[in-house]
Amino acid sequence: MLSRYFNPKRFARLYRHDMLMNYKMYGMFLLAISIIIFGALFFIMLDRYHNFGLNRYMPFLIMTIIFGGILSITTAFPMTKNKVSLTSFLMQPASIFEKFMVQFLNRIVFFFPLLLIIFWIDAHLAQGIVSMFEFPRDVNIADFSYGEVWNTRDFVKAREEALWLLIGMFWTIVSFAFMGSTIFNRYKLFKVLIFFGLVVFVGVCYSVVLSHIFLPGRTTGFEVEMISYKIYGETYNVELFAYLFASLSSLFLLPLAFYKLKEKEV
Amino acid sequence: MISINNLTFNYRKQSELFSSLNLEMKDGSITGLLGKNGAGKSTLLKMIAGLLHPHAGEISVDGMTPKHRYPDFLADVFLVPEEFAFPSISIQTYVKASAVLYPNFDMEKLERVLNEFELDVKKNLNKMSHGQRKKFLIAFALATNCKLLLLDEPTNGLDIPSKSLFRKVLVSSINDDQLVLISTHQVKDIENIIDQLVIVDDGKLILQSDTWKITERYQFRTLPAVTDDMEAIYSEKCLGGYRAILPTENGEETDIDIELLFNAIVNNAPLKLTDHVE
Repeated sequence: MLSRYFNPKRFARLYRHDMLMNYKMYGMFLLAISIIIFGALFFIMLDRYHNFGLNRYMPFLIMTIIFGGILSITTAFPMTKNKVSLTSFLMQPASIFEKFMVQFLNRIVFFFPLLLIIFWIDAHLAQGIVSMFEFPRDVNIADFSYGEVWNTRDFVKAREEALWLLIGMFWTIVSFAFMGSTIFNRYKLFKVLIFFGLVVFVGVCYSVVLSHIFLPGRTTGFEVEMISYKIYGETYNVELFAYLFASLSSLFLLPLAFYKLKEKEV
Repeated sequence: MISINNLTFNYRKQSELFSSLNLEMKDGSITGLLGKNGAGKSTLLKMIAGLLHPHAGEISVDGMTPKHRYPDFLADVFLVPEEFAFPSISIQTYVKASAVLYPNFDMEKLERVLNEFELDVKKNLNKMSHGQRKKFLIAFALATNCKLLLLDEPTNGLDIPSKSLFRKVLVSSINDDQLVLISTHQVKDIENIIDQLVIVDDGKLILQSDTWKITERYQFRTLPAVTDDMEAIYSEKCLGGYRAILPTENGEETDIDIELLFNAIVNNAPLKLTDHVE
């Protein structure tokens, strides 16, 4: 009965199938990302700074994770783009859950570590090349290391919970983008971004309306007003809401993604 | 093998394509699914394959419900659609990637059929002509040994030698426990290989019959003229006279002319077939 939904042997075959069918596409995608990261780092190292410290790497690392992640996740399930390839996808002899998991692994679980490895290689490559050639300017480029990045996590040092909140929010956005890739068939990247913007806008509007209803004296115009208080210990109610939102959203978004995929018709 | 009960379906904002359609098909046959344009042949194939969900009624294939798309069901059903796409990889890579997903895949059969179709396994699928790619897909479908093969316009895009090769390969490659359901407009391409006919029109099943039952009862002849005493059930003008359907006399059977039969049925000719659905 359970094998209707998941069978390790069949899943391994499906995963291999996906790799063999799409290795060119995956390879080109990773190569393109590698070239873009390398190019960006190389030219910035070359042009702007005499001293390229670890803090200079950080914006690039964050942008790489954001843009790389958006690209990878919103283009998941490429076979749903039209009826012809959707037919092949739906007819593959595997469960919907297995098909879902193949994309989940490739686009999220394996992609982000791979992206970090690519960034590390590109950073060292760019540093090596810039340092190797004796350019007119005397540049001092710091070694890029994830250990150092972790040790200088200024943004969360004040409160350790902020790290979990950040991870939770990141996971929520990842889940949202993954769900979007199952809802939309064509132009997924743009549609997911627009959809995301729309959801945020509706959320803000809803909060504005609630603010006007419950705090009419304190709210003016397009403003969100909240009553902030300590709900337990040093944790504020707004923080608790943010933690719950960040940690629980994916529990709704990922099953919704699965459901949308399961109900697809040609 | 296939059991359809009270099937109702329509596309969004369109009138009903099928209403209370009932159909039973057993394995061990090559069945031709015929109908006018827009009669719903491809839609019916898609619903049998689980790609579309019926709005009412039930479809069962070998005891399984297609819309659930369970892996056991998908491993035993292969659809060759009218339009298809392949990634830019060679035939051998495609086979290496996809054959393992079908538990009964027969590599020897694939090699034999590919040889007959003169397809080079090292060739990139996207650098082949549409006809060559279709031949490969048909070869792959046959090699899966799926119990149910659904072929939607399989001869579209095939050249004349390939059409005859297709017939030969199909007949020699299928087993008694398989059902091949072919939806086509090119009735001449499958005339001699089908052993059952299903005709749908206006969302209804209007004929389901074994071809031997039809030829046992009716003759399909070309006549210089059609006169009343010939008792022609249906006739059409053609080069050199008339193509006519006549009652069989003295047990003398002719080859079936599906096109003529189809025209006779949709024009309400008074055919009396055992399985004819009024």
